[in-house]
Amino acid sequence: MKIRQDFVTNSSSVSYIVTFCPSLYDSKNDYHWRGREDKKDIKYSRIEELIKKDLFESGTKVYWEGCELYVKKYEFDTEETTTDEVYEEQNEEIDFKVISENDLWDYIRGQFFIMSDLGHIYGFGVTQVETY
Amino acid sequence: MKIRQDFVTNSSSVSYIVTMYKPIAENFIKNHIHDFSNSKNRAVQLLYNELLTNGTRNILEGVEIYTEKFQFRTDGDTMWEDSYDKPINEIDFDSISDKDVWALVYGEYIEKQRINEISGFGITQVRTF
Repeated sequence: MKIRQDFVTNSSSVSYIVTFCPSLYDSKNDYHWRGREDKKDIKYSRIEELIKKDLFESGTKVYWEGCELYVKKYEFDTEETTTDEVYEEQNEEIDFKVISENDLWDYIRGQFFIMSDLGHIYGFGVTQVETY
Repeated sequence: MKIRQDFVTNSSSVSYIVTMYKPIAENFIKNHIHDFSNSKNRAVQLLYNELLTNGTRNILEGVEIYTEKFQFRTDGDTMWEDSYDKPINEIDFDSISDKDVWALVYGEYIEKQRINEISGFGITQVRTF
């Protein structure tokens, strides 16, 4: 999906550290969705799986405050992002069944990192660390 | 101060790791402090100073991150802004104890994640009992 970005007048490079606690995520996921996995929102299924996969593959396993976490710094240009507001302005809806991984990453970077929606998912956290 | 807690039916002990990148948090607080309410100012300053004083300094990919784990019960250790017996903007948070401010930090800013309103802070739930 092509996203209009011409309204972005000042782009900048930003960095966020994403933190993930697998044990908490697994316990909550199991509790909430066990036996009714088909009911789980496709939006969150895809987003969670994509971020988890990336963190397990290229994140760093650390022990912070006695907890095993996967952490990774994501650096990107704000032009490489989209948000719910952008889609609403264009009267478009995201079809999370068919959205490409690239477009989904744009959405994750905008809505879940910059807008902090990632914090709404059990076991995940996001902290802004640098802006250029 | 009378606290309404009767609506709490299921309590539990919860743990969160608060993360802070000092340069951005410091700058954000400095630039927005005049927009903060009295309660938000006390809560944010208390958490910021706690991380600086007692947090752990970690280096990740060249970035220095402060972390600290907070564990509390949701049935008495926490306060939400609408839990007080009068509107929160009528309460003088400069005159109440750190302990009472911590209750607001735990409830409003950690459990409800409003600390995410402050750039440079992050929060990750790590355990529930």
